[in-house]
Amino acid sequence: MVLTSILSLVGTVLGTALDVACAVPVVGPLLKPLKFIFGAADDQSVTSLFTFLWNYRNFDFEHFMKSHKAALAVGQKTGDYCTGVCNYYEVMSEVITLTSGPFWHFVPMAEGVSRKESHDQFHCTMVNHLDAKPGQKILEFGCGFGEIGRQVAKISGASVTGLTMSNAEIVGGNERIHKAGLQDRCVIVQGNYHKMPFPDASFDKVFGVYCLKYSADLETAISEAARVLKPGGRLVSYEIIVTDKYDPTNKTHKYYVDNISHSTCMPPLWHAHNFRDAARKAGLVPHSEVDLCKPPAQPWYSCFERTYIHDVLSSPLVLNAVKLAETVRILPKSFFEFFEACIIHPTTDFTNAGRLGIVDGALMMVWTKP
Amino acid sequence: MKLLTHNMLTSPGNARGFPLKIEGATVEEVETDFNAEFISRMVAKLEWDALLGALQQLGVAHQLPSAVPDKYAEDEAFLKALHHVLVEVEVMEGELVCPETAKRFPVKGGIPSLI
Repeated sequence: MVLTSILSLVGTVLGTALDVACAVPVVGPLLKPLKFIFGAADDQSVTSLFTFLWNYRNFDFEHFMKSHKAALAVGQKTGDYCTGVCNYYEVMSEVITLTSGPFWHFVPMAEGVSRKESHDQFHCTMVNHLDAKPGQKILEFGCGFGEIGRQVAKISGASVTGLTMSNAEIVGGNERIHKAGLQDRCVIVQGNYHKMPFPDASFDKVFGVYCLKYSADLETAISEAARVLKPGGRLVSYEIIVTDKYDPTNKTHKYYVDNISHSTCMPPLWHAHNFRDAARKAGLVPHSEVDLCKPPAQPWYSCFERTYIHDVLSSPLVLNAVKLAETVRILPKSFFEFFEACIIHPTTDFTNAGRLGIVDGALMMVWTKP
Repeated sequence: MKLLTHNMLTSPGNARGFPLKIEGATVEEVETDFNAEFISRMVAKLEWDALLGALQQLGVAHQLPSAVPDKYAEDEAFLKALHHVLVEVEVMEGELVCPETAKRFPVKGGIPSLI
């Protein structure tokens, strides 16, 4: 813990100093790679990588990868990915928080605007799309540690109930609510969004961010969201999807898209029309649909490009170094397998699929319940 | 689990699974700041009988009337009594039981699990 804090503090101080130096003409651009190296531990930098290695140097990756693969096979066979999603987030909630902070999804970013500021902006965007008001009851399904829900509650004055399946997220999420002093307006309960533990018409607004991608039964998930929504209420979904350009018969396309699903133990990514169809069947009316990362915003995956983490993680040098470290037992057994499946693949495949235009990570869809 | 939370929970997948009965509960009382406006806004969203039922099951003493008073927004004594039961009474351990199927769901460390 102490080492992590020191690394993080050093990273922050050097990061700020480099911010200033990078603004200097001529020399500035040359310093940019250094800025990345000394980035903050929770900002997808090389410091994040070392912080992760240090914290998980004794972790049982062999057991995790075994259950991860077994659960994925069950999901692919039965269409029920619940066990796999729970297993994944039991470990990955902490890993993602350690290396990426409380932000687990892609948001629009612009030149000169930090990742944290971009997420703050996204929270305001979410409040606007929800049209959240003081006193309203809002549900965030698939809420993780509930960061977006807390921000929506803070900005709008609404009450937000979170719903997630993972044990780790339930405990961690409720601790964070207490820390934020929001315990009178926020709560997280444990449940499955295909079978929500709430009566009909109990929320003014319902939303989910990057969570319906885990559903192999979009129709049930969206009909449940519609059921708990009050007439006149809104359902907002911010998701990552495959685009019209995605061609499943193209081997390269399929390779990237399959890897994205396999690494996070989820079904194949949905297309926007799957969401539209499921919402129509649930009796919802389309309100708006917008790609938040259309220019002038940078591409949705730009957070991985601007810190060069994509280049570092796809370099053979890093791969071989990690492989060697496992062979000589500096890193635990099965570490390389985990590193490749859960760290390298998501980062590189998101970026590569994004560059090809076959995956879009910033689709905001809004429906109303008549 | 605050009673405000219990008031909106139902047995998953069961249209008649409300309200959930609370059994074997350990209750803690935690003092929280009183916000009249917030409590007043919650009144219209409450299932009143379910709240009274939960209080009875927990054996928690209270001064709430059997129905919501007409001019509740100006009734500070009522809002304070409601504030206490809604956000200061916390069910730490116990079980939630579906009234229809008798299926049981645990509450552990104050967190209800409806899986």
